[in-house]
Amino acid sequence: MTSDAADANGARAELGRDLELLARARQELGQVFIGHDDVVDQLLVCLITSGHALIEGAPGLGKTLLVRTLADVAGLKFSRIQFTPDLMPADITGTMVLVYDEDGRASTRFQAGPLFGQLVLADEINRATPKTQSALLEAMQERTVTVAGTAHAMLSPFFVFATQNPFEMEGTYALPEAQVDRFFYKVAIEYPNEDVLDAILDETTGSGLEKARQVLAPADVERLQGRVREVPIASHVRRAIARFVRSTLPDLQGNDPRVRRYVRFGVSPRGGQALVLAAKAHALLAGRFNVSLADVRRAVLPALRHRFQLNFEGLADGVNADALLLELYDAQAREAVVG
Amino acid sequence: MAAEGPNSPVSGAARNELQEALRPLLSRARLLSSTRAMAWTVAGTLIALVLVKAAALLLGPTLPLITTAILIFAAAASAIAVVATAPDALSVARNVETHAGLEERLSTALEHLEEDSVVVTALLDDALARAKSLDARLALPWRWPVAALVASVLAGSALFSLDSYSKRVAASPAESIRRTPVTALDSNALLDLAEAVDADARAGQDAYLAAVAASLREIGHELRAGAPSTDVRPALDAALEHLARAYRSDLGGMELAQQLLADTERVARAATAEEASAPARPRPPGITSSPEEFEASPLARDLQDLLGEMEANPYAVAQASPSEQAEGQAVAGNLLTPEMLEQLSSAPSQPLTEPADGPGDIIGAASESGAGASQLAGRGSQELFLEGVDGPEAQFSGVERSLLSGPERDEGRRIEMVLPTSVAVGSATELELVVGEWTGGPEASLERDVVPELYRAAAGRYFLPSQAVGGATR
Repeated sequence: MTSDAADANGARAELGRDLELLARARQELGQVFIGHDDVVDQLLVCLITSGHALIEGAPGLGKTLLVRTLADVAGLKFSRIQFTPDLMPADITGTMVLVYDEDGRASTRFQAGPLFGQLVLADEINRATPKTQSALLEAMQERTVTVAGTAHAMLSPFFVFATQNPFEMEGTYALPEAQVDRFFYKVAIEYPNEDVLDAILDETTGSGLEKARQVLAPADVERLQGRVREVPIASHVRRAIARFVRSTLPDLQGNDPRVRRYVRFGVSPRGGQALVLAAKAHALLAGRFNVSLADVRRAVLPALRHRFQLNFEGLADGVNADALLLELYDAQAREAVVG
Repeated sequence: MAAEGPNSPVSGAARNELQEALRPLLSRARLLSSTRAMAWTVAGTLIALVLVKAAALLLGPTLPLITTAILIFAAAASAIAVVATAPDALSVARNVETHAGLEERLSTALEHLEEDSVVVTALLDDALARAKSLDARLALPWRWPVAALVASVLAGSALFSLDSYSKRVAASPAESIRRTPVTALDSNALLDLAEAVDADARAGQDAYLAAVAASLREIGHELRAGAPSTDVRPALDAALEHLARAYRSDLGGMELAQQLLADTERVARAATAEEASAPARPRPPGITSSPEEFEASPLARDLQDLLGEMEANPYAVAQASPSEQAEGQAVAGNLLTPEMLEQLSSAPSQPLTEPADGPGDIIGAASESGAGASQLAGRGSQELFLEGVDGPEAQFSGVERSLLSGPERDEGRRIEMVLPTSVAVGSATELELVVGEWTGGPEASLERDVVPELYRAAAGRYFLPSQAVGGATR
């Protein structure tokens, strides 16, 4: 066997191991977070695409449990910040503190805040003031935090998984669009159906609680993040995504009349990038080495629902933004196939 | 991540094998595409033929060069479409993976054949394994080009219909006749045409065509009888229009025309019946209504003239002996004796009692003739005049016999009485005593016995029904 062939075989074996790791991580998460396979997949997609997630769901649906379990499975340093109206930016980023050495000399030292973790759970992020919310911006985008003129790099990998309650609007501060756009996925956790709820009640009220095992290391996560970007995508699928993203723009002539009438702003190019990347991750999760139109469809709602907002007229008329998004995508996917 | 080089035996073999595995699919896709394109070529050519044929019918014969050019263009366009739409490997892959549920594996692999990546290599292997397992016949099933076939059938049907239609129109006698000015027609030609059309009607059991033939025949007879062409022309035009319509293959239209014809006749009959039962219309000025006026009327004068000439004519049958009169009756059957005419002219009149009260009432001169004397009258005839007597051949020298004859004309409001001239003169000139156009006011009555048996039925259509008038029967 030549060295090239040996390298190739080794690379194939490593690829196989990566897929197996993903499958095991999915299995571990699914054992704890019961009945929400799609949500588990979406969080894994965020994990292997280095994306932040905004998790939305009613209280008691297990949002915190899900994120904590993900940190356990991936071996990431978990950090939780409970956002409140009086939370200040320094409370999360950290601040300079005065310290004395053994000789009694005073000096300042940066005391890192809870943001310096690998998987940060920003619980009820919409309860904090915009000032505090915006403190997350630099960390999410630049992966650094600047305090007293000094930029401090975040740990790698770094994720912010924020949660918010969609029902309690009083005393909350809606996230500005610029900040919402920083989130790779918006994961909606629905109320479980009867069978799932029954299983949850059975699994969580007994003596032996299921605990997820760590199957990944931070290095595995980073390697998987590189692997995702290698997944090829066919030109007609990519073209369909581009056309779909443009079809969500309300100012574009020839777009669907409902888009022109009801949409406040459409999907940004960053949204398109997120869609492609997420579709690649979904393909790997499915054990496939190429992006299919179905993968893209799976990613449409979590990747774009927070980047596609209706105007007042659309909200007043009860337009279903999710359904509209899927309809627009399906039209472009059909056209891509027909060619 | 480990990557393999472009010359890697694994990736190179996979690439070649993938292209090899896709070859049968590509061949079958091209075969299907060619078949579909051929079907459209046939359909396109047929459609072009239909258009050319229709243009020839609507606009007249087209130049053969243009026809040929259109057909060549249609065939060439179809051929170009065949070449232009020939599927390539990528489009075949997309088609196959869509129908076989391969989730874009083949097309992605084909597009990334040259990339060096472990993921792409894995994709190539995956795509190859799946392509090998594909059955070309199942992956690309035969589908009939239904749209092209339907288009071909429709175009073929249209072509056949247009062909039949054009032949029928070309063979239609109506077309040749319509190109001939009506003034050039003579009665013989028209009667010949009527016979031909009637033969067609009998052969095809076509009631509509038979009606048209009858109409043509009637017009031919009128022409032969010397009827004014100004009356004939509109009727002839209408008949020829119907003829042209009858010879077209529009069966639905023919049925509709027949229905319309029947409706028209029914309405006409209803109108006639209503008119017969309606009160007498007021008479126009100049119509006689008293004995004095009647004596001064042209009718009385004409009758007196007739009587005088009959008495002066030694050859008149009316002047002959009873045996000769009987012989004359046997020959003609419609003899009007001088007594009859005298009685006719000298019948006293009484003032009219119009308007009549309703159907069956005694009206006009009938009610005036209390003594039961006969009066020559029609249903509203006021004027008896002579026609055709001003020519040199029409010297009126006597009456041999008088006839109530001839076709019923102008909706039955006129009786043509043909009175041959004197035997001595021997002229063929015919005199027409035509009851005037105004028919609303009856002026006289004609006793039943006066009218020869042969013509009673005909006369009954123009005279009032028989009614008892002072013991006599009209």
